[in-house]
Amino acid sequence: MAKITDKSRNYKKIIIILSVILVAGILLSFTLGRYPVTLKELISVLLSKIKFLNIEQFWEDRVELIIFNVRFPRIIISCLVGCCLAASGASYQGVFQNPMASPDILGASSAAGFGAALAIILELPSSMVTLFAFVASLVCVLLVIFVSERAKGKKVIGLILAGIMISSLFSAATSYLKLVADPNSQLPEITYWLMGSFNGAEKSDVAFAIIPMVIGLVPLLILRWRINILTMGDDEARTMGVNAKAVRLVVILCSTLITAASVAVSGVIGWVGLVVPHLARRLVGNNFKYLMPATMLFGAIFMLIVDNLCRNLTTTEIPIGILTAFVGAPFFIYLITREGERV
Amino acid sequence: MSVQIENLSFSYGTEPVLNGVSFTARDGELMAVLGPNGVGKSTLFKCILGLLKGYTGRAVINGTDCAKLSSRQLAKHVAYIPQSHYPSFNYSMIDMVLMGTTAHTPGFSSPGREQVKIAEEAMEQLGIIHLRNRGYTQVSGGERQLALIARAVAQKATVLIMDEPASNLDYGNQLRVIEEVRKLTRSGYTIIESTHNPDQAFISADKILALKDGRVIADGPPKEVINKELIEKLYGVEVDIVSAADDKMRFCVPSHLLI
Repeated sequence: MAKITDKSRNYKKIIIILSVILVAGILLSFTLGRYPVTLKELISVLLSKIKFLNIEQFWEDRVELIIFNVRFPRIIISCLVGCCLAASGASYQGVFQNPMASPDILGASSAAGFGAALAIILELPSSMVTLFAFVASLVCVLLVIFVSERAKGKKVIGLILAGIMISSLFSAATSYLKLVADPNSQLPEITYWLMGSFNGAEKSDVAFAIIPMVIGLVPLLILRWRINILTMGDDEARTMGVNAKAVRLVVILCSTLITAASVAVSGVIGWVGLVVPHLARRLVGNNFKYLMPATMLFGAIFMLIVDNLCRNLTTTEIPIGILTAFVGAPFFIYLITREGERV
Repeated sequence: MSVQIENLSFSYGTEPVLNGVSFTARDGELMAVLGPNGVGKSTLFKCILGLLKGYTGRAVINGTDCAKLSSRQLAKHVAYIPQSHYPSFNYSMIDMVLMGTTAHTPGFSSPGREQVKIAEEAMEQLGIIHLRNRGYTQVSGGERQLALIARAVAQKATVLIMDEPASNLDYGNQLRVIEEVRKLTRSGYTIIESTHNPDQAFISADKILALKDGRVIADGPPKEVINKELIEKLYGVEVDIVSAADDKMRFCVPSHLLI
């Protein structure tokens, strides 16, 4: 095991490199897909929106339509969801002092699944599916916090146990909904939703998700140093002048908000929230001051790449939840078997 | 004047743990709290550190009642040094020490250049600056303990509460940690440490506070307070106190093993 070098010194460099990769990845993603769009067309279309440049249209109208109505929402959503799931995973890992924690530890995902399934069964429009998933997810975590407040003993353990229980209740409820769903139309829709996908992402999804995401991400960035202190345990944190209970509650609520918003627009996408923070740790170390921004950027890049694979690898699109598991699980095996580092 | 505990009592439910504990620890004094496991040493510390509310009596630090301070204000007066532990994440040594400066960073911001300098000075003071960029979980137990002490120094509190600082360490590291703690007392810190080893109290403490069944049964300099009777009362074992190096040092030896 190599000793820890002062990773913070490379921090600025790494953040700049990640940002450049992200921007390049976003531009590149616009050109990938069934309908070919060249980089030149993309840049011209974007620049043509600036009125005084007077760029003459040489592209087909379809190109503009695809860029703004199909690829733009999809790329933005996948970056946002990647960023949020990774940030939420990193936060939960800190708050629960557990490197194995992921965004669904308090049941946010399984509850969202239930909400979506319910909306599908009630034959509500897709915007309501998103809303139901979002609300169910928030309700679930609030329920978990409420139950854990009454749990005796260690607060963190109480939260995790309450999370496991309530999450499994929602899973059971989802199973029941699948059982009573119409097997020809509703069941496949539920199943597909549960596998997660950015297919069919629309501008309205971006508009729906971006507000809760920003509301959640900003406090996480502000409080990120204090998450370090929380990992020392409540008593130690308090003797260092940090109100452990309040900081933890805010971090959990913010993480939940961004998870719920992500799951609501993309379905259940596993592994990102677990794996990306660990990848980012390899780059900048464990200090959340550096880890949080790096994780956010890395999450966006990771999701963008995996989503590009999903829509371009085969002729029919692969649900992204499947692919993240294929990428994530082997990586995790590598992580736990790696020499010298405790997970 | 530094730490003044007045008639402090605390009970978990109906079970009394501390019963009218009073003592004073002055600036530059190292007080060792002696007593068997479960006697209420940790409870006493938690009351002083503001981690337990609902006690009766008063804990006054630097002239202010602890109960009236927020955790952040209290952290500027008292720092806690736990036993060396393994956190879930492998922080670098400097990050670990830097955490102590949190009470002094304005708002919710992360520590900046100024705080890093404070942390580095604290590491320098404890002789671990060469480990600055090493991982906290990859250094020895003694070095981890010194890092936790440096963290408390970086916290700029004048009162340090230590939970058995030398336990779980090998002999060399024990002496090293004891020596550093000693130096801190000399430079004006008030230190209250718990220990169940009377020999260690002989080596380093200025004052002994012996607790039994939640009450103070002895309070004074080690040589005056620690004797055959006290050890028997505290631990239920028979020892002889032997003196060495012109009575500069004393030790307890088990009586029945002397034969």
